[in-house]
Amino acid sequence: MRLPDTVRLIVRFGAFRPRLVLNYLASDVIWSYALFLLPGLVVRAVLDSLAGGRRAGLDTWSLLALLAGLQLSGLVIASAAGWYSHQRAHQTFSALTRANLLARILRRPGADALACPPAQAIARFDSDADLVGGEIVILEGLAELGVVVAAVAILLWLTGWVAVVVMVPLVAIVVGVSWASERIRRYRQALQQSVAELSGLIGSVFGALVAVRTLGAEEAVGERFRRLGEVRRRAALRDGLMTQAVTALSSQSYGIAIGVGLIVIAQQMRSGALTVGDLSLFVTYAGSVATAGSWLGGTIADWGQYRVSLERLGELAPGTAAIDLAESRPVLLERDLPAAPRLTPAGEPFRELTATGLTCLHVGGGGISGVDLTVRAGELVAVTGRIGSGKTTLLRALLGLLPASGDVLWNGSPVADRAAFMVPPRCGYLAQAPVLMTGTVRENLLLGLPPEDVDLSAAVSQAAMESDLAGFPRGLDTVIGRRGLRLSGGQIQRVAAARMLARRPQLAVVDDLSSALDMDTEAEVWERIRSRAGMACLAVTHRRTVLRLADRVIVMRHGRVDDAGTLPELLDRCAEMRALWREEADGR
Amino acid sequence: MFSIVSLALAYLRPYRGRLLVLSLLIVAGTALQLLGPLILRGFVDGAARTAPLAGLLALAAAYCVCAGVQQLAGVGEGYVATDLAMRATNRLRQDLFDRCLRLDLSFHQATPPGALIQRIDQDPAMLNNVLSRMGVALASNGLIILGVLVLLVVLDWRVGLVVIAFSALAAVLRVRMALPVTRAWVRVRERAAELYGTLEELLGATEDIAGAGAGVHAERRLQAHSRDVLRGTLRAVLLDTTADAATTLFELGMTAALAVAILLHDGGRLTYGDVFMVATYGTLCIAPLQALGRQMQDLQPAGAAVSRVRELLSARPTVIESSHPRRLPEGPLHLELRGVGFAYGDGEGGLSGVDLDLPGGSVLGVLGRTGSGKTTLARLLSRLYDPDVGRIRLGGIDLVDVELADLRRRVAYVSQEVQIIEGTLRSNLTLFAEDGDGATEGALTGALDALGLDAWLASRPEGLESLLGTGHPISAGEEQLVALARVFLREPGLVILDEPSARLDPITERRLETAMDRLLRRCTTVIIAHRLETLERATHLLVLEDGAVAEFGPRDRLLADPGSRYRRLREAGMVGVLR
Repeated sequence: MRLPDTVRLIVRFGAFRPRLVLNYLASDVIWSYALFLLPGLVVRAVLDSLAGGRRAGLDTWSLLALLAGLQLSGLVIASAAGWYSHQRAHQTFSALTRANLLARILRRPGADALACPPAQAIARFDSDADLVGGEIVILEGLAELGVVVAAVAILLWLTGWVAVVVMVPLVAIVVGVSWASERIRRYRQALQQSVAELSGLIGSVFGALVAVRTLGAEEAVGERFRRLGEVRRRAALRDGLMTQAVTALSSQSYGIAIGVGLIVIAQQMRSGALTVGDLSLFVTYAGSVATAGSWLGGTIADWGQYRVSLERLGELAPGTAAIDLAESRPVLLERDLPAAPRLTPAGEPFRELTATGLTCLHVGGGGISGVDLTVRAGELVAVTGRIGSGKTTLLRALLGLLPASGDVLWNGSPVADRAAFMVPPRCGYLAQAPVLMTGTVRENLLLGLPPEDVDLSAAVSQAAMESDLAGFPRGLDTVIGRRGLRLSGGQIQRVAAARMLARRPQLAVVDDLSSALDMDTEAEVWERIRSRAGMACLAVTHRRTVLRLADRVIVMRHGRVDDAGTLPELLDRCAEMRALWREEADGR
Repeated sequence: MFSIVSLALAYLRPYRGRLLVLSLLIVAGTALQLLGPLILRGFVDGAARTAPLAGLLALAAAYCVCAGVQQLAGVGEGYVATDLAMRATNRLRQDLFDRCLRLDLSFHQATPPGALIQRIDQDPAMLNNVLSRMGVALASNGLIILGVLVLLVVLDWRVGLVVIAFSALAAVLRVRMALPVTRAWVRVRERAAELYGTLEELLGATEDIAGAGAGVHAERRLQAHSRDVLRGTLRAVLLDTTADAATTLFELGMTAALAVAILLHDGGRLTYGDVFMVATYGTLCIAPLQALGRQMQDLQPAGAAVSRVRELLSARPTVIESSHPRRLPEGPLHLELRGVGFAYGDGEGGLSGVDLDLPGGSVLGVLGRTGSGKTTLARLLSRLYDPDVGRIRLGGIDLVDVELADLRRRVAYVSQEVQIIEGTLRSNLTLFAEDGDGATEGALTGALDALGLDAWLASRPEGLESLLGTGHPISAGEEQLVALARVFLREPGLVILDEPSARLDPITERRLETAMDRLLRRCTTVIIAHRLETLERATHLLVLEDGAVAEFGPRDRLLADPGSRYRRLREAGMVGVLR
């Protein structure tokens, strides 16, 4: 029999760090639940010793001392050690879940990695990954079940059939709870969906704040926020009522069970068959059973939530099985992180890249189909075309940043996994709107590479960044702010260019430098890049200067290659090229 | 603790009725729970005195009823509490959202959207927990413990005194530990916020990370943050369990009370049933105490969340409505700057002593290097910031005196920043306005047509209802065209365009320029430009250098002046150098 993913995942968490789980089991689970049952037995002995009936070998005062001892050990073992080990396991497994999730997302085609807006993804990384990592509490669920069984067994042994009276409602609880958990799942999903929509709106609105504000759209956006909030309130009420009903159902039986128990034992009490100590034990255990039972109900309800969260995490990185979230990886939370990866020089020199029949269609229309292209060592191949003609898609498809069909040959051998293969030191990529990270210029150039592997000053000079750098207060160690937004668009692009060049790629793939660089800076960058011996380039451009520099030009139109050849050839025979050339009046 | 309560009360005020119902339910539930052991005492004493069986059965039946009603009250409590908490926290969220929408740009440049999700959505969620679960639980559990204390004092003052002494010790310990524990949890939350800030950045840069082969680096950054969170959490947990000793103190107090009760029973002062009651109350208190302890732990992070909420609520935007707002005149607006100066906190990219006089209907081309203050000028003109010194007059009215709503209607700013908000194309054009901002279907498609986006619109199966944003990518050029379409839908008197032609291919750009010509006829325009062609359209030119005016005047005059910078640049075909 194959266990469900939910269970297998927890088993795998356990296998990942068995000691964490054992500590947690020993301190939190076993002891705290043992302490849940022991005091009841001691109090029973106290009361019975008082009545002068059966003495349990210990006198009243020793028993009271024992009770106090149990209470103190409860503090030390259950509270301190228990919660500590609980949190440690929880945080470690959550971190593992997050790390695995991020790794899986990064393994997807880079330009299409996220299935939802980053802000919504964050909400899932936060609450869902935390919940999944914390689902180790299911062990407590087992302990809760153990408490119920043990309490009933002790009662059966000490007080006879009265225990059955407690058991009947107990069964009702468990049935009721499991009946309700399916419904909880549905309501909770709706609630989480509404929460995610709200976070998505917040992230998106504040990401485009300048637009929102200058258009005076604050009120309209606020109204939309209010309406989503109302949807969320209703979802929370439905979810809350269901949870309440489950909880009430389980604790309701506790009070009533005692009442029913009292009716049953009234006769036995009068006849002396049952002592006051027995009554006390019965009352205490009915409470314990109900509390443990309702916690059990809560654990089951959480289990429903855990399943929802697992699904939602799966959606975040399509193609990821739940079990992959516990894939062992160096989550060395307590020790040092693993060493940074090195930049290994490319083995074989680059000769030729060929793509045939490259096809990548977007869901909403657009994309490219059946594109062929060749880049040889030392060449500059330019890709040009109108807006929406598929230029960027072509580059991304080639590099595995978008899922695409078609064949790509590197030096004549087919490339199976483009995303893994078309990276430095083979390929470098400069996106149209590159994104930098919080930190210094140096950190952004290195992105984790060991400094000794990289010639930063060469990269900086090739990217025409020296004068920028000279103007920065702390040179390479200048902090560039969140996503590098303290820099101008052109500076961001140059830092990204240097980041690419620092990895000494054999083939540089560049998407439209002109979007943030002015003509002269762009020309300067191209001259410097071209002066680098051996590096081939594939570049999207519409600048005349770059088109003139190119060995060959590919003209894209409606997602297909309209024509390809040298610039003079194309100007001669390709109407689209002529149109583009005419319109690109860059004064040269 | 106090700040949580006062914030909660402020937001609960409109729901007094619901609050009253909730309080009644809590009090009823607690009273019924306290009644239980009293019935049991009667039962035990009755059984010992061999009272008639019918009496015992009646007590047992009373116990059943008592328990049943108590549970019903519990469900009611939960429902009313959830509703109340959601209403109150939704109002709080709304206030935070509205406040953040209006706070200064400098705040937003320091606070990523991911952090705002935390502060607008998740911090109030903490308060929601406090209200819907902890608040109710604290109230009912607290009442139970208080009730037990009172009942024990009534039973015998010595028993009561013992319990009160231990409880007082427990309370002192809790209070003493509250602050360090809160601080530890604040740090945990801060570290978690950093983690999610980094994560958001990483998730927004998947293309760059993949292109640079920097996956391992990304993972290492995440893990470094995870480690900080773990360390912080464990520290907080240790402090918490120290505070937890309070619960144990109370339990020990109940055991001591039991011992006292036994002594009194031996002395004949208390019945067997009384001793039984003391023991039962002892166990009755344990679950509420544990719950109280847990809730106190949850209160700590909530306290941290509340202090962040308060900080945000007390933040004030500096760009605010004038006390006597005025409306702008119709038509193209006359623009005048007198001695305008502005500095950012870090001192870069500011402006100083800027004077300008631009007649209505003119087109001003602005040139200057990065950091020369072009974007700052655009932000001042669109009143994203107010100048530190000097004044800006638009249509003869000081900009700070213009009614904000009117300003937003009449002054359009197309920046280089993100323009698309998650949602449909329609809502992006109308910006979620209920009535479509008065724009008819025809007006919307008309604006797109004017920008040459008609074919693009036709290619989208869902037309105006097409979703935009993550997962529904449009090209950078399309994004700017959509932003411009918004301007077309309004009747602006001043349009500020920050490099409108950036990232556009030549053909799209041609279309855009034709469309722009049509727009420019109707208003005053400020274009931050880099290209000669863009400047051809200008009637006036402004060259900025290090935040000051290096040259300003009608284009014809500058063109005729052989010594002007514009003339020299134009002759050298070097406009781009100015960037």
